[in-house]
Amino acid sequence: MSTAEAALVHEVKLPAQRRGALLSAVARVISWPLALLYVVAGSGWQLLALLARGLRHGQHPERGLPEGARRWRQHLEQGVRYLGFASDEVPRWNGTVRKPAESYGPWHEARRRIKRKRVALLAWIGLALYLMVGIAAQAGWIAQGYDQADKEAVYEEPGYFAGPWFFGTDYIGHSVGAMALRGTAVALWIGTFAAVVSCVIGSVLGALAGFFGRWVDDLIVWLYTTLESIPEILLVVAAAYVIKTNEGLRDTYNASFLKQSMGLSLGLFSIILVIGLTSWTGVCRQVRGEFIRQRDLDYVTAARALGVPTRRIIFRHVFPNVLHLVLISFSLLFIGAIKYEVVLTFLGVGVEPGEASWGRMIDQAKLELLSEPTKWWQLTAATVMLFGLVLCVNLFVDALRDALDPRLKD
Amino acid sequence: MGVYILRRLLHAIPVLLGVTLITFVLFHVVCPNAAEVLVGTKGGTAEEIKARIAKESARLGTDKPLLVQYGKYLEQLVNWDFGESWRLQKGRRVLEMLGDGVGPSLMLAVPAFLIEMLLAVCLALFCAYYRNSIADITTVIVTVAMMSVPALSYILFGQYFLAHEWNMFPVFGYQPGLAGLATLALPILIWVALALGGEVRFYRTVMLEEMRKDYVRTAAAKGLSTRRILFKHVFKNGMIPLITRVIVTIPFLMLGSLLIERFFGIPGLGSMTIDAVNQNDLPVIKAMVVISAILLVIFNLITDLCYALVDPRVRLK
Repeated sequence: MSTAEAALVHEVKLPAQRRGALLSAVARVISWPLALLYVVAGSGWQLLALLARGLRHGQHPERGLPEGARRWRQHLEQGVRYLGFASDEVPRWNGTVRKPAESYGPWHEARRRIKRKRVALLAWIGLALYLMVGIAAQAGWIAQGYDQADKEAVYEEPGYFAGPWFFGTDYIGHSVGAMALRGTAVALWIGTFAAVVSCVIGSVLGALAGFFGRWVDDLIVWLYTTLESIPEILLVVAAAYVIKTNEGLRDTYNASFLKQSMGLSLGLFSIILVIGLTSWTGVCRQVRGEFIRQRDLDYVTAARALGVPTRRIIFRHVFPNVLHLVLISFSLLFIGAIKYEVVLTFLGVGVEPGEASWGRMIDQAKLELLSEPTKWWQLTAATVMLFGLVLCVNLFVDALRDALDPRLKD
Repeated sequence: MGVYILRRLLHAIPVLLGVTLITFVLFHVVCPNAAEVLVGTKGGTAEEIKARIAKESARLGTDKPLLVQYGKYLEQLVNWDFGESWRLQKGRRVLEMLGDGVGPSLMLAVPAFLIEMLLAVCLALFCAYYRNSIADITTVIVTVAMMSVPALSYILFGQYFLAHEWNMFPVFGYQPGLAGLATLALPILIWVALALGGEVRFYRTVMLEEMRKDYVRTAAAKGLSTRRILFKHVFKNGMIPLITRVIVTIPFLMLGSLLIERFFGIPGLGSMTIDAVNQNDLPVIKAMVVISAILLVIFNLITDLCYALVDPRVRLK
């Protein structure tokens, strides 16, 4: 290597990148459970697609079994390579893997920009930690005794060697630390489900309204304007109240599979449902606006001229181009749902007794601070846990928004 | 302009109808047992309760077909009749109760909102002026952190440290008039702390959006100083979203804050709503939802009109 070349190589390594290297390595190592989940879910999906393709084999020989098998193998290979840190190319959910020679798209660009931000990487590490705690609590590896009350140990103070009561106990002897850890799982469930429900409703309705226009648009715009006219907090409270008082609904719910086989209580379910059904309007508005812009672009006209079915144009051609909006809304709705859970539980229409959620802990602790002697641990534990999660998501969304904004290209 | 106003007014009619429809579905279809809620489960044998429920449903009209109920509901709305309270102040007109609650709610909300907005706009301008400097980044991170603390924790810790431990404010209570300012100071402070993060970020985004526009570049090319561009040109254009936000917030100010009012014993609409939910007082909840929705529709209309007044481009559409 000549000196000129060496100088070039030296120049290419920007100081900013070198500084971020350690953080980004940590972020990658720590996010392996996420990658594992992704790979398992993705290859499951591929297997289903493979079976479906096998069934349709006679009709579409060119898109039949061999193609599906190839994709599945690719997906698995790529996943294994990712887990072994040999590559950071995560296969897409439909199994396609970008070849290195292909041009870099906006998502790659976004990931590259996020990697350079230390705050974003830290937030990502925090999120991965929360996810691990959530999975462990859900699986029962940690926080097992969260629902076991010990009458002998009421209002124990936090202590390093107090065993299961390392963060004290509450008014009937539940371990506060265990409840806070268990609450992570509950918060992740609530946030994810509520955000998924509202994102699905919002983006489908927004896509239809924006793409078809005319009366479909009028109807959907009317629907969300109307919903937005009712203050969200009142609507959520009223809806949760109605669900709470309707006994027929409660009985039906308790007999349903959600309660019987998944153990999801009505309180949690109603929070998810209510937030999901009321807060899709923002997503809908954004997706609709972007669809109106995209539907007249040349690629849509081209697809139409080629005879691509409308359904496919909407969901396979246009939708990926508005996905970044949905992604950002998803994160914000995720936070919103977790915060609403606290308020709803305080109002007595949320999580039921016997379940550990941060909202319940804060609700229980509302009189503990002012009592003598002060019992600060339950409120502090729940607040700190909630603060950490919401802060991580907030910081990450910020970085994501900047990274996905094409106007901020460097 | 006249045509624009007329069109906006006509647009509001289906939205209002939609609001009545949604609230009707919510309170009359999903929650069909209004009479059962009213009667409750105590007081007498099962037979007696059943008879009372039947009597009450006949009185409330919940045994009639849904279409008839909807008609009656609309009729009540047109007459601005929200019935009587069931539990909170039994037998009192709901509208009177709400009228009593607006005052305390506004006493808390208006000063809090003014302080919060002034602070937020000043901080946002500061951030926009020193954008991407350490001060800006610190402010952004602090505001994000402030947004991430749950509202209840703000109230509980604020009440504990500022009022109980350090005796800076009264812990609790409400007095009407100027004498109440001492008791209102802490709730106002907590309100500002609660809302400041989001507001600063909103206005900062607005200002930075504006600063990326072409006219700013033109002004800079013309040789104007950054300060002049920021405070004269950008700030004026940034006023449009600001006005919108202020007007849209007014109905929410009247509704008050559910949590803060509750914790500081302020007898406003927010704490009334919470009491109504706790004590199953359906007419009060219903009136709150319907009235706030109607207020919101009206104020959205006003916002649109102001928009047209401030921004001539809107009128041409």
